Amino acid sequence: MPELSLGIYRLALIALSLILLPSLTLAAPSLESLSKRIDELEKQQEQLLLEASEPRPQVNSFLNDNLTFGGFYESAFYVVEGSDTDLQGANASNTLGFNLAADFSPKIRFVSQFLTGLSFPVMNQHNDPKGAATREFKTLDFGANVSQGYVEYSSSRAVNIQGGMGYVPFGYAFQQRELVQFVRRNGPQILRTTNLVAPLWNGVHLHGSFDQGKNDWGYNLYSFTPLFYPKQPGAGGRIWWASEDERVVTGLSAQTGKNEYESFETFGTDLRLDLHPFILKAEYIRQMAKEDDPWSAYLEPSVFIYQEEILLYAFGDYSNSPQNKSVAVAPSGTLDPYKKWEFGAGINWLPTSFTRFRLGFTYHDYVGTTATIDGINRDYYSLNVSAGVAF
Amino acid sequence: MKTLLFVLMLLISELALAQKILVIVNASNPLNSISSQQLQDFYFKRAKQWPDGSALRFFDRSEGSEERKEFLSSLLHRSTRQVDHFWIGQKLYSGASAPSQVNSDRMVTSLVARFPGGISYVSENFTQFKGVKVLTVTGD
Repeated sequence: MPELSLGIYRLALIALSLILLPSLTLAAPSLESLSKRIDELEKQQEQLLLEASEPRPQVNSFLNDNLTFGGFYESAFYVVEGSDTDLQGANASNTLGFNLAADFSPKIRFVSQFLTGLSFPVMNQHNDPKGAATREFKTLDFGANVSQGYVEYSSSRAVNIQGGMGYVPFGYAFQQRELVQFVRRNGPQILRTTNLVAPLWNGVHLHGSFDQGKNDWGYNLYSFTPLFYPKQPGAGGRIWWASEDERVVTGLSAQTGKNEYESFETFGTDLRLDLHPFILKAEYIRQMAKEDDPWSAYLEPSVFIYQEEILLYAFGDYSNSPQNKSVAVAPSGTLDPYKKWEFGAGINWLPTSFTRFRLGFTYHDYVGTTATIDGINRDYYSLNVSAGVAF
Repeated sequence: MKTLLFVLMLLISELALAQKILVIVNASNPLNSISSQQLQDFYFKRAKQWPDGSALRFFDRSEGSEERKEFLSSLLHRSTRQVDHFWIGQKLYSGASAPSQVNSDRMVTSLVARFPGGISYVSENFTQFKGVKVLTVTGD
């Protein structure tokens, strides 16, 4: 019996060998061919990258690294309520931005940005009783415009000259106007305070930076067209300093020009601390006027948590806007001055670096002589939910 | 004793995981060292030319690769999310785009070897430096 069992085992082993041997002999060449195939694919990818990386005198295709196409999209739902404001909500804004840039040589490039949007803005935002209606979402608004378009010649890191128009290098917020980049909805009030800063440079912009040990220094000089007095160009400038690894960036900015009432000078200072994951941004801008100076300032701490997927923020933001004119406050052009604090907090969820969902809360607190008008309390709160993507 | 052994093993495994990065350039590049400040200027495209005026091309490593994480944290002192957000801002504000990304040590070496102004980085364990040379990274 044992001999018989041994025989059966031997037979089984031979059978197994017969089955496995061809498959083993087949496996060896397939691994080899797979390896060859990987080599071929790597070579092809390498060739493609080389073709895409070679600097060329002209733009050829979208595969070429010398032509950059990108943009962003943001959609927001906005809810408001106050003592004299009905509870209401609307898809307040939908903004699509396209960016196109082209390198024509290592020294010459073209940069452009096109914005288009559809929104239901809040009418009589500051609840002025002169308005035809109380604060409310009303009519559909849409628009499209070129927000940047310039040709740049780079002589060196220290000397770059641009001709055209672009976002003004005034402080921090004016340079980070794209909606997906802000930590909170619409960014700070500095951007919305009337007559404070001309938001675009037009004409010529000269800029550069220098190393000083582990720190950097930089400057900007530019011309601009004042929004309310376009027949006489204004001039602006900025100097900034950044510490090692840009953990601290701070700057001084200024503009001088003329508006519909008088000549003006605007000064500002900004600070950004990036002690990752903690970030602190603060900015102060004041325009010197004959009577009431328009000015604005904010402080905005934020922190990344949960493997940098969640960004929590809080802020305190003040604006004095004596020359404000609100939409739907009759008669058209009537001044609607306000002094307002905004306090808020919120959460950004960043499932990838390029996508963002946000929930934010803001309390709008009108103060001083503008706290009430004809006994009407202007305070209100707002809640916003938004989604944004950059590509 | 067991706890001590466990801690030692953890330390050893952490050390084994800590991967160092070597900065490589084309073999014809006259430089032998590069400062961490220069490296940042090149990576973030603040400087687009070598000191002699020749064109510079930075090849980055693939999103999510250990080499990239190590390069960004140890040499640029930034997280991948910080760098991604920097490039989003640049693309929207100034049209500048992030460096091309390459998958493997072998491929990136091959690209740097073929492009005279090329610069990139490989893992410390990589040994095939045909056509490229390793630069010393200095602190200042």
